[in-house]
Amino acid sequence: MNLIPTNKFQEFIDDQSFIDWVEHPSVESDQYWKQYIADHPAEKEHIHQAKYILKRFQNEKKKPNSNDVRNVWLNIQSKILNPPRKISYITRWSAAATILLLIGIGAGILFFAREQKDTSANYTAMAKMAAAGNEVKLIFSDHSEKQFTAKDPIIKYNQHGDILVDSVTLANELSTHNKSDKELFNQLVVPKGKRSSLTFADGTRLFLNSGSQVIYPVTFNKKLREIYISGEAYLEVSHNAGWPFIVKTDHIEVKVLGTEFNIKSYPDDFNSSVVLVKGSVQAIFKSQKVRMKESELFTFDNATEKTSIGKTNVLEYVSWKDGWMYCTNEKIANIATKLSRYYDVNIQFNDDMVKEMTLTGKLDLKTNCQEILNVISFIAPVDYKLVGRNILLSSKIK
Amino acid sequence: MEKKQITLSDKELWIDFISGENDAFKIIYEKYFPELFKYGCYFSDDEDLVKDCIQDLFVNLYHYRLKLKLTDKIRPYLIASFKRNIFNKLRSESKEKKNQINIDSLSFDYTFSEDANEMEDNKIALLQNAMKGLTARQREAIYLKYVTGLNYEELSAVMNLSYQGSRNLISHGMERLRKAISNKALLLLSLLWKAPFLKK
Repeated sequence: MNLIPTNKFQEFIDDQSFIDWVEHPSVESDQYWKQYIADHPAEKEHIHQAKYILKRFQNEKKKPNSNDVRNVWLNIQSKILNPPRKISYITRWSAAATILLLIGIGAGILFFAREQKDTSANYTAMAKMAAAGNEVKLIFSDHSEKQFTAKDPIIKYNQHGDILVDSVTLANELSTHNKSDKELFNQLVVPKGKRSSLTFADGTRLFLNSGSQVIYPVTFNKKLREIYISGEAYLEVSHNAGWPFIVKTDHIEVKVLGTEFNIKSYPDDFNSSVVLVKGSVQAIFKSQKVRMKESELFTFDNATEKTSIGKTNVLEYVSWKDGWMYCTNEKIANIATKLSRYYDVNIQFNDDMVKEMTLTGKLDLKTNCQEILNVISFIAPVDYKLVGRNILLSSKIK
Repeated sequence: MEKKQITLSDKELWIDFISGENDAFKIIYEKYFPELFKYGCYFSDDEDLVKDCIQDLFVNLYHYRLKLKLTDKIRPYLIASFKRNIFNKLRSESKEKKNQINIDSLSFDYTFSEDANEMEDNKIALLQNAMKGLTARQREAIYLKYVTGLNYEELSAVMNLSYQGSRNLISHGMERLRKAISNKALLLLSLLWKAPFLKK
């Protein structure tokens, strides 16, 4: 058996400050080692040997040229860009995310829409009529329903009034209803665990997050485009300065002339918020007006009616649309609320400490819930128990 | 999307990458290409083979990124995977190496290169000679530690050794290099031997 050599040379070649000095000498380090040699004359030879050998490692003759770096990268790109469909989808939406205006969590902003109050339909009553189910469903003005078993059906109204679901024509309500002067509404209901997207005839596109519903007229009236949302939606409103678009919720209203935004107003959330990603909007609540700038977050506490406004990381609010949850020091309690909607699970804590722990990073919502829990329990001192749709989170710290 | 800066830590890059951000993927590629390439060239003179292995490494990395674990040890992970690619490729391309079943028996031809202003110094020749006398594993460990710049933990992960095992490998190898230049008599002798050529 060879014994490990123990001598000063061995110490120097393991000493990072010594290695640093050899590789990148500075006035200070030169001074230090000069003094060191003066103080330890017996180690001089080993220092010189170590320095000499370590120095030799620095001139390596093999080097890739920059063409190699580029060419291999191009090869890699061409191999991976025969894209699995999922990947192109993600890329497309990340691009769209640069131009959004986003309206967030829970309840009370009024966007300039007071004068329309009288004419507006009783959305809340209509919303309550829609029974919850397990599938995404479209409710027509005659109360008939159509259910979709897909996890994320894509619904589109074209200019002729045809309703297309995943590119297949489903119905045309205009032909049967256009003689009526009464305003007729459709509803799209998305249960927990599902998502959907909806395109209106004017080109406005809307993505609905889990546990949400949207009520909209069969055709928009000539003065304004108005819809009602409960839950969370991301909208790309087609621009038309003379045809305002209004989104109503139980607590807030947003008036836009053409932009993209995300609105979130769940009945069971404590507050409402708006995040403006691009453009400029005015929020009005309780006869106060708030003009928002890009990347600002406006929140309204549904109970105390307190408000706040300030810069935020917009990605945290819009990434759900791309299948990510983007967290920056986000409390596990908040993450759990989002996960329970997204996956339709019930998350409980047996320890309040866990609720207060915060996470930073991204969670891939395209994987299953258990996968997400694995990641969380890997990076935080948290254990989880999964029984059916019930999850119990507990602390690993005793 | 914001452009990611090169200053992100490996861990942050990895999180972005396994979350599907292509920017982070490219940054990781550009950051690690040079050292992987240089390291690979000591296993094989065939630069195209080395480049193919880097390509395969990143293509696979991309395809499996959603299944990859959170790690802050990108470097040893990449190096070890790359080495496995090289081993498999060498084995599949040469008949004589078909029977080579152990990744730890790969040859590693690293040696010191001469530098123009050291021509008169025979120490380098002695070191080169001593380097040749080391085992391939010792050469590879020394290379990874002192040229690539891995620490012992990373080294153990790549070399499939315990922490102490990788320390021993470095320690013994370096001691032999030291001895090669510490024998004064040998230095002098080889100086004399080299002298006639220098006079030319």
